[in-house]
Amino acid sequence: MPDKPAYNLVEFVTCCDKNPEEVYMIGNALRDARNIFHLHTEPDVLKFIANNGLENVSFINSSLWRKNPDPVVEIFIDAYEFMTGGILGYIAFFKNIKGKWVIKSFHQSNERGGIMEAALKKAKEKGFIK
Amino acid sequence: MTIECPICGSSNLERTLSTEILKGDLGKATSYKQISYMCLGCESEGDFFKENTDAINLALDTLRNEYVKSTLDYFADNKINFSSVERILNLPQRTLTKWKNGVSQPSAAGVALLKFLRVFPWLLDVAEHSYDYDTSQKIFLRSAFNMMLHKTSFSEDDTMEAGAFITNKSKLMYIYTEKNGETLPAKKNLMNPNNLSAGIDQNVLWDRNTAMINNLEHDNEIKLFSYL
Ligand SMILES: [Zn+2]
Repeated sequence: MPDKPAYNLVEFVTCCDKNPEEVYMIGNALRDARNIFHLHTEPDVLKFIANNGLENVSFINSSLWRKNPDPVVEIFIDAYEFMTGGILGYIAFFKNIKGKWVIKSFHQSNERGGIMEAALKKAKEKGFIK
Repeated sequence: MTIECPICGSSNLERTLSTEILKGDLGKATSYKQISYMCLGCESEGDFFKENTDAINLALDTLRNEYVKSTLDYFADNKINFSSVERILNLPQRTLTKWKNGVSQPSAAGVALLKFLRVFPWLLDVAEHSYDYDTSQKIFLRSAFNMMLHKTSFSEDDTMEAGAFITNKSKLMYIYTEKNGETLPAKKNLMNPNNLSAGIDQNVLWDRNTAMINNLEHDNEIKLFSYL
């Protein structure tokens, strides 16, 4: 599992802003966006991302897209944790063979002991936050 | 014309139409007809051709009208005069009537304001007092205490007690329920005024917040309302 992102996050965020028609959301990701983050439509989600909605974003991992029907081309999915309001969120996305972005997951992070949690713990230990 | 999965390029797509429930705030919900595609190539599912946004926005409009109606009905039922609300909130007169009759629509911020007023009607009292900080805290506490007393049944099953401790540094209101006749140790500490200020100092959350101690083992409960 690569320990570096496969894609440039800024490029993804910029695309959400400038070319939202080039970004697709999987149905479950949109349902979670609605139920967890009050973001009801795909444009709502993309505008939120474009407006720097993913705060304190931190890379988790990059993994192979297992459902890729084309065995020749390897496609990786980048996963990140982020904060928004009081919620620790999770987003996973990839760029498909045609160069379109696909948001595969967008939900509350269930990473126990995730990177964000570890960073918050460290910050608390050092007294940076209460 | 064949359509392709925008995720993987497969033309093996199945289109489905379903009724989706849209859950809104304040426990309200509505539904809309959702178009969805399932790709048999990559097993992805979604609104791949961005066909649902208008239907969702229309459903959200329905919910928004429900919030407006719910809050304005609440005002009417509780004899809260629209003109007074408009005066207190510095809204142009007849704004609420226009919203109620559908002559004009509140903005998203206006709807959020109505939701807050529906849940916390005492916020009107806060606005009436020019959002003065100390007065606002008192209004909040009075409301909390009234709510607490309303919920106090003084039934035969529970031993109930409610009261207040006032020191020169702090005020603390409490409600105590005892469900199986056992006295919660925390209560004993609370009842001792020597422990009270220490208790407040030890738990910073009590400062300007509502705190609740639950003793699951004994099924007893102490709710505390305090501010410094
Ligand atoms: Zn596909």
